Amino acid sequence: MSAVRAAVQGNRGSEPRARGGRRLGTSLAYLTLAIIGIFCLIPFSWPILASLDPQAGPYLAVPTQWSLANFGRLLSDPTWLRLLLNSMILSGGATIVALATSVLGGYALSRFAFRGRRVLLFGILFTRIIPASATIAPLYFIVLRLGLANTYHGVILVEAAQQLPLTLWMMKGFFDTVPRELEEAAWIDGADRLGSAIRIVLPLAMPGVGAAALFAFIAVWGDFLTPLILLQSPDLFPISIGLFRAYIGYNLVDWGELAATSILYMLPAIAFYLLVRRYLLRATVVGALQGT
Amino acid sequence: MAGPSHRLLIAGYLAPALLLLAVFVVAPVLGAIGLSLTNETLTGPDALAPRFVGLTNYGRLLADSEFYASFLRSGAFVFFSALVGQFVLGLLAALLLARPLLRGKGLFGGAILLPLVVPETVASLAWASMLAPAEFGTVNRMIGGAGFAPIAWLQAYPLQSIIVINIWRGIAFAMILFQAALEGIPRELAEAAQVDGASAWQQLRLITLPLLRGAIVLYMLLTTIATFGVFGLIYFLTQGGPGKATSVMSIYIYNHAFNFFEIGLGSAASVMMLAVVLVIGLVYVRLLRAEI
Amino acid sequence: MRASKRWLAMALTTGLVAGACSSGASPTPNSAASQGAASAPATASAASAPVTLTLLEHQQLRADVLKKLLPQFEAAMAAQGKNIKVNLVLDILPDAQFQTKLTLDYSAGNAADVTSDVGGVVPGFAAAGYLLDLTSRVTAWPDWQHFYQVIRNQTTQADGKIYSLPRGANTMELFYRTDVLQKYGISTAQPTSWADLISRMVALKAKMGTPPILYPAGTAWGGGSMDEGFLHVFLGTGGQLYDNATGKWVVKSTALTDAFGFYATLTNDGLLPVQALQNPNPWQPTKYVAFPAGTLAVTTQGTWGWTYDWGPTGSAPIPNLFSKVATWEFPAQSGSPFVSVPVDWMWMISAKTQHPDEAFALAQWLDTGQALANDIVAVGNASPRDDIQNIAPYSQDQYLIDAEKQLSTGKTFLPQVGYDKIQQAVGQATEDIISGTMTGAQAAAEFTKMATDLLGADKVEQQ
Repeated sequence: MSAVRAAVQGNRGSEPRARGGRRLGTSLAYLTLAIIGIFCLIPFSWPILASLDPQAGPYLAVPTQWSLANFGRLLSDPTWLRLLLNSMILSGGATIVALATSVLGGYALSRFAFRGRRVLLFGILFTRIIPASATIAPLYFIVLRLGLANTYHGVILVEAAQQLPLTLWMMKGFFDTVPRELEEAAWIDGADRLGSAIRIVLPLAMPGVGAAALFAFIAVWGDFLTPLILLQSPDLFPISIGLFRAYIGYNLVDWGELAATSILYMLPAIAFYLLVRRYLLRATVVGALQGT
Repeated sequence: MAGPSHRLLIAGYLAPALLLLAVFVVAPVLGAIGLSLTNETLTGPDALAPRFVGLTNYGRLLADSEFYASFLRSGAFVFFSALVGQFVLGLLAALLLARPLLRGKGLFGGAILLPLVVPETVASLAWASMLAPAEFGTVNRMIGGAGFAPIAWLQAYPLQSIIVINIWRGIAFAMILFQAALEGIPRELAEAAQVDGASAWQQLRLITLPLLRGAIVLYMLLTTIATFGVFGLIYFLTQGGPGKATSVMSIYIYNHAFNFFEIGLGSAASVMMLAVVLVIGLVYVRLLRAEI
Repeated sequence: MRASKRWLAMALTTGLVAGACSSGASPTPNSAASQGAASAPATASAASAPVTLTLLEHQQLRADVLKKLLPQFEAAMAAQGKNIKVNLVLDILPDAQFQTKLTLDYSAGNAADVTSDVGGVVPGFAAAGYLLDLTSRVTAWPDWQHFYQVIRNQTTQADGKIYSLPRGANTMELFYRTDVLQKYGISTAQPTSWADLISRMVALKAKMGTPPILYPAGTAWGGGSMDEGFLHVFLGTGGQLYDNATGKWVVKSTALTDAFGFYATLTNDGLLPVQALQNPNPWQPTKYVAFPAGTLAVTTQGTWGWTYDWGPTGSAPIPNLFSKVATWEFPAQSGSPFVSVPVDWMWMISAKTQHPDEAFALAQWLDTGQALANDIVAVGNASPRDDIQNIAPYSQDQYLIDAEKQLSTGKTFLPQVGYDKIQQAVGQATEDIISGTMTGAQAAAEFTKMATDLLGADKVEQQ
C-alpha cells in the first residue's frame, strides 16, 4: 500500500494548494474501493482454502497441511468427471446452436431491409425480459410434449433459445460494423450472397462472434434452473445440479471435493473474464442495453 | 430484389432463430396463460384429464395471503438489493475507478466482477460458509473478534441475508453500466467545473449525475427485471425458508408447480409475475426506442 | 440460376443448423435408451438377448444393499434360463427432492422400470396412469397370502386394484431418551393420554431448557409432517379422515380441530423445536443433532430409527443406542395408547416398462426370503410378511421382529387419491401453528379451506 501511495505521489507535482485535498480524496478512493473489493472477495476464501485442505469441513479454516489431494480425488472420480463433461456438452452445444442461428439471423437483420424489421428487432429484445423462473412450468410441458424432456438436446435447444435475444442483437451489431461495400465488391466478382457472407463478412465479425459465444457459454455454464427441471437422469446432470445435490446431502458431503469442484467450476468463468476483459465494457453494455 | 424469392431468403436466414425463440421463449408465455386456466397437475386423476377451470386459479391466488406476501418479499428483495445496494456501491465503484491516476484499476475491477461471473451455485456455496451458524461461520468469526455472539444469519435474518448476497453478486453489473456511461461524458466538462472551483460533490451532483440520468433509468429497469427472476441463489441457500421468509415470487411459483404439482395455480402466478415484468419492460423498450 | 443458388444457400444454412443440433445431440441417450443406460448397459450375451431393467434408488443405505442383492437376482434368473440384467440407477437425494424428481420422471415417461418410494405417493401415481396394474400378477402369487392383512389392505387402492408391492413394514411410536428423562427425574412410564404426555413434557422443558419433544410439522418437512407427525395425533382422536362410504375426504370435524389444537398446545407451551421445524431439512437439527445430543428427549419415529437414523451406520449414530433409547406407544386424546402402522415404502413398476414380467419378477424376488431379509434390515424395517422370521440377518434383529408382531394390532390409515393434497394442507396448517400465526382452531379452518381448494368441493365433506 505504501508503495502504491508513493507511486501516486510521484505522479503529482502541480498545484500545491489542492494537493492535500486531492491526496485525501485519493486515499479515500483507495479505501472505499478496497472495502468493496474485500467484501467481494471474502466469500471465496472458504472454497479456495477448503479445496486445498485434505481435512476440509464446511467452515473456513486454514489448512494444517496444504495439498492438491481434493483435486486429484475429483479428477479420478467418475461422478464429478461426468458432471464436468455434461456441463461442457450442454454449454458447448447450446453455444453452437445459439451462434449458428444468430449468425444467420443477425446477418439478415443487419443486411436486409424488410417490412416489420424494426418490430421484429424490438420483439426479439422484448423476449429477453421474460424471467426464466416465471415460465419454467409451461416450458417443462412444451419440452415434455416434444419428447425432449430429460435429454441433452432438449436442454441445449432451450438454453440456446434463452441466449438468442442477446446473441442475435450482438451479431446484428457486429455485422453492422462491417462495411457493405466489401461484400458488394465480391458479388460483382460473381460470388453468391452466402458465400461472400461467409468468406468476407464473417471473418471481420469474428471478434463479435467470439464475444457472443463466450457470453452464451458462460450463461449456460452457470445455469441452474433449466437443468434442474428439464433433466432427471443423474448421468445427464451438469455441475450446477451436482453441486446442489452434494450440498443438500447430510453426512455424505465431502467438503474438500465440493470446494475443489466449485473452484474448477468457476475457472472457465474467470478465464472468460480475462479473455473478454477488453471487450467487456463494450460488449456487456451492448448486452445490457439489449436486456441482460 | 424484393421479389418473393428474396423474401424467402430472408425468411430462411431468420427461421432457425425465430423458431427456437417461438417454441422455447414465446410459447411458454402463451402456455402459462393457457395452463393457468386449467387444473393441470402432475399426479392424481387430473394429470390424466386436466379440466378447464376458468379463472379459479386467479381467484385462489388473490385470496391467498401468501401470494401477496411473496410479492412483497420480491419487492423488498428488488428494492433493497438492486435499486439501493447494487446501485449505490456500483455507481460508487464506477465513479472512483473513473478517477485519473488511480492505480490498480484492473485489480479492483476484477475483484468486484468476480461475484457476477461465477456460477450462482458457487456463489451460494461460498455464502453458505460465510453465514454458517454457531461460531464457525466466517461472518460470525469476524463479529466474534469484536465480541459479538454468533448469529444463525439465514435463520435470524433470512431476507436481509439474501439481500446482502444479491448486492454482493450484482455490484459489478451496475459498475460496468455506469463505467460505460461515464466514458461518454466529456472530460472537459469536469475540468471546466474544477477550474470554476466546484467541489467534488458539486461536480457529481451538478454535472455527472444529470448526465448519467439515462443510464440510471436504464439500470433501474434492467435490474428490476433481472432481480425479479432470481431463483437459484435463494433456492440453493434457503429453499424459501425458514417458514416462508425468503419465499419470493420465483420460489412461490416453483413450489406450487414442482413441489405440489399445481401446475395450473403456479402458471397463474407466473402470468401475474409476467404482467409486472411486462409493464416494466414496456417502459424500458419505450425509453430505448427514443434513444436509438 | 440465381434462384437455385438461393435454394442451395437455404439448404446449406438449414444443414448448418441441423448439424449444430445433432452434433450437440449425438451423445444423447433417447428416452427409451436412457431407461437402460444409466451407465453402459451390459453387452449382449451369446445365449439370448438380455433384458435390461432399470431400478432407481435415492437412499444410500438401501442402494448399498441393492448392490449386493441384484447380482444374486441376475444369477437366480439365469438359473431359470432367463437373461435379465438390472441397472441400478443411483440418485441420492432427500425425500422431498426425490419426489419432485420421480414425479417429473413419470410425467416425462422416463421413469425407471422399477422404483420405490413412500407408499403415500402410490394412489396419486396410479390415478395418473403412471403405474403398471399388478392385480392379476399379485393375486396369482401364492406368497401373497403370507403378507399381513394390514399390508395387503394398504397395497390395495380405492379402485380395488394393486399397483405396488410393499418394500417393508414399520410401526411408529414415540422414541425417548431414557437417560435424559431419568437424569431430570421424569417418569418413563407409558403416557396414558395427550394430557399426561404434555404435563410431563412441560416438567421436562422446565428442567432441560430446550424444547423436549418433536412431532414433525410445517411445510419444510414435506409429506413427513403428515406421515410422521399429524397422522399419529389424528389417529389418537378416533376421528375419520376419509369417508369410505362416500369416497370423500373429511376436511372439517371436531377430531381435526382437536388434533390441530394438540399442536397448538405443544407450540404455546414451548415444547416443540419450532425454529428448527421452519428451516430447510428440519430433521437434521432435530433428529440428527438434538436427539443424539440429548437436548431433544422425545420424537415420533418408525422402526427405521434403530438403524437408518441412529444405528452404527446411520445418519447420526447414538452409541449404546439400546440402553439410551426406548419407546412409548402414542398416547391418544382419550382411550388406550396405540402403535401406528403407517404405509411403508412400496415397489412400483412403470406403466411404460418394456418388460413388465421381468420387472414384476424383480419386485417379487426382492419381496422374498433372503433378499427381503437383507433389504429390510439395511434400513431397519419390519417384515411385511409372516414367514421370514428365521431368515438371517432379519432373525438377529429382535426389535424388528417385535415390531412385526405389532403390525396386526396397530392403527393404520390407508392413503387415497388426494392424499398428497391432504399432506400439503396439513403442512400449511401446522406451519401456521408453529410460526405462531394461528391458533389450533384457526389452523383447522385454514386446513378446511385449503383442502377444499386443492381437492375440489366435490371431493370433500364436513362432519
